[in-house]
This record gives sequence, structure tokens and C-alpha cells, in this order.
Amino acid sequence: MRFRILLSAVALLLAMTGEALSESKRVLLLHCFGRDFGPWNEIARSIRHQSRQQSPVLIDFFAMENILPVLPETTNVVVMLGAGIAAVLLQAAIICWLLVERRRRHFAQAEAISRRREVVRLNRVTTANVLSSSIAHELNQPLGAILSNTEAAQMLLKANPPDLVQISEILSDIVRDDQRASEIILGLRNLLNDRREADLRAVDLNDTIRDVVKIVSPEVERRGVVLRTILAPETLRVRSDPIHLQQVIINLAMNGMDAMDDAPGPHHLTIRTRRDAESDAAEVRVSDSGKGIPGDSLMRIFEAFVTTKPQGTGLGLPIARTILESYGGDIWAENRQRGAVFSFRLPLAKTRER
Amino acid sequence: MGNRVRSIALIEDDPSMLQGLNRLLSAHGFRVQTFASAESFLDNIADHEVDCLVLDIHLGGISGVELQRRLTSSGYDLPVIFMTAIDNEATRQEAFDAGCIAYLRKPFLAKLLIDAISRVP
Repeated sequence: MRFRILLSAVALLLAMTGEALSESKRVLLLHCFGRDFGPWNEIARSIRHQSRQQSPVLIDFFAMENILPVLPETTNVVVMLGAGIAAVLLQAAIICWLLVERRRRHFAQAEAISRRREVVRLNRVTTANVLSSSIAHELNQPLGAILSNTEAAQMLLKANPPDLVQISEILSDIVRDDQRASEIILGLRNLLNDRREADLRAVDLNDTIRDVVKIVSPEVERRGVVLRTILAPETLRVRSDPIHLQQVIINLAMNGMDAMDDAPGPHHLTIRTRRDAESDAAEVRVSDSGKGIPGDSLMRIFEAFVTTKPQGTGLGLPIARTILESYGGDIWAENRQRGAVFSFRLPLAKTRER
Repeated sequence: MGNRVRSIALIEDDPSMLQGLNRLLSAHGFRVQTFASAESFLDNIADHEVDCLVLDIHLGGISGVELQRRLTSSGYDLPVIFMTAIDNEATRQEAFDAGCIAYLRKPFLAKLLIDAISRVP
């Protein structure tokens, strides 16, 4: 009997403090009143009746008004009120805990977004860093040609009569070199722009590799490296931001070329893609014919500040790993007979996205 | 124009830069022979009558610095002017160690190149 009283009191007091409860919980409480509570059945019926006509808040008040006058004298009022207060306190504690938890989750999400933005920014900076020599080379060449051509044209204009045909050719070449410089800047802007939000979509990894090849080709040529791509015959769609993947693959390709700088030739850089049917993932392998990774560095190569290059920051690979992991992928390094191979895997996009 | 220099071998793997410099040096009255690589210059080196070598450091294949080393070790004592689109301490040091009259960063004004040629002994 006491248990019934306790249950009824808890239910009623929860209903009375129901302002903080969701509608679904109110319904549950009212359902609770539908059960057989002996002497409280009349009150429960009354509340159910009210619920069909009044707002939930009014139900609570009616419940209170109805219950007090009809309390049996035998009821242990102290027990009931004590249990009620305990229930109120419990509910208050639960609400507080839920609010704190909600706030904590909000902060955790904000922190995760902020950390991701920082990693993306570092990835962009790293890419700019590894490409800086190439960028300087690619821009200074057309700028140098423009300057030489302009000064040659100035000299030719001093002749009497000036060679207008040659001057016309020079002007055409200046226009072409100017456009060449503009295209380089445009390409870099796409690659290195500071964007607030990631552009997530289903990206064909083979297309990404083709874009990367265009970007690193001048550097490949300048260093006398033979670049080979072996791409999977089917499309390999992965859900990611294509620029993030470009940056990661550029970093791996530039690392490979750096590793071959002091190694005896010929220097081969191979980028290969394949579909791993077993894990339903796309795999990219970037292999070089350099000296390989020293044994003691191989296990720690993805840790921050671990580098095998004299001028390296040791941040490129850990950043690449963080980026890939954020897309559900993983990355690993191995030595082979000659040189090293860096491989990463990303889950293929869902069939409807492919 | 330098007192001695009449003929210049110009080695540059960027076709636009090669063309622009060829026009510039020709307009200043030099006889210019152009080469797109160190290898093509080395192919018939005995046939080239040049007073000065103007070459890019970062050539595909044999680099400018490597060419200078090979020429020196083969007994060719040609004055060299290096050009580069990638200027850094290491490249500069490498160029001066190999031996050169001047080291020019692209893009450069014609005056710098002509002054350097005029310093050829």
C-alpha cells in the first residue's frame, strides 16, 4: 500500500512540476495514472479527463486541487510529502545534469570544429611551404620573360626604322606570358584559399590525382623525376573536400621527390590508385625510388616533429593523417626494396553518392 | 658591351625566357646561340665558339651548376653567369662555389645582365 502511495505521489508531483518536462513525458505520466492505484483511481480518472480538455499545465493544478481534499486519513502524509520532495529534487538534479551535459557537448562540438579548422589551415600552410620553390619558379619564369621581352622591344623601338614585325611578336609573347602567370595564380588560389567551411562531396580520387599531377608537374620536370600514374579503371568516389585531398597528395608527392634528391638516379615517383573490394575503400599509394625511411623513424614518422629532412618541420605527415582520419581513412608508410611507399585508404562513398 | 665578349651561349629550358633573353642580347649586339638543355650544349661543345655562358641553374636533366663543374673539370675555362628563378642561400652558395661572374635572380633588368657581361675579363 505504501508503495502505491509512493508511486502515486511521485507521479503527481512530477505532473505538478511538469513545466520542465517534455510533452512526451507528460503523456507517459498520464498513462501512469491509467494504472490501478486503488484509492487514487478517482483522482487519476479526473486528471485524464482534464487532460482531454485543458492544457497540461492546468492539468497539474487540477490534479493538486483534486488530490488534497480526498486524501485518506490513514495515508502517511509525511511519507508521501517526503517522497514528493525527493522526486522534485531528483528531477531538478536530472534537469541540471542534462543542461550541464548539453552545454558540455556544445563546447566539445565547438572545440572539434575549431580543431578541424586549425588542422585544415596547417595543411594549407604546409602545402604552401612545400610548393614555395615551385611557386617561385613558376611565377618568376614568365615574369622574367615579360621583362626581357619588354626591354628588348624598347631597344628595337630605338632603331630607325623599328622592326615592327618583331615588336608585334614580342607583344604577343608578353600577352601569353602574362596569361600564363595569371593561370598559375588562379590555380594556387583554388589550392591555398582560406575557406571557412569544407566543401564536402563525393570526389573521384582519380580526378584528384590528375589535378595533383598538373600542379606538381613543373616541379617534377625541374627535378628530372619520372612521374608515373597508374589509376584504377573505375571511378573511386570518396566523400571529402577535394582540396584537402589534393593538399595531402601534393605533400606526399613532394616528400617523395625530396627523398630522392640525394639518392642515385633514376628517380621514379609513382602514384597508384585501386579499389579495395574487401574493405570497400579506395587506396592511394605514392612510392619513390629514394633511400627509404630509416628504421628508427619508420614507426614514428606520423608523429609531430619527427622528420627525416634537414629542413623539414615534421608536421606534414601528422597533418595528413589527421585530415584523412577525419574522413574515416587511415595512412601508413613502408619501405620497399628501393625507396618508400606511403599509402592511404578512404571509405568509398555510399552507392547513391557515387 | 664588354670589351671581349661577342658571342654568348644561352642555356635555358623555359622557351619564353630563352626567346626573351635571345631577343634582348641580340638587340644589344651580341651573337647568341641558344640551347634548351645542358645536354644539347655539351653535345657539340667543340663546335661552339663562345666567350661567355649565360645559363639557368635549375635546368631539367644536368643542372647549370653541374654543367659548370663538368666544364671546369674538362678544362673549359668559360666565364659563367648564372640565372635562377629560385633564389635561396643554398642555391647562391652552390653557384659561387662552382665559380661564376654573376648570379642573377629572375626577373632581372637587362642592365644587370649587360653589366655582368661587361665584367668578363
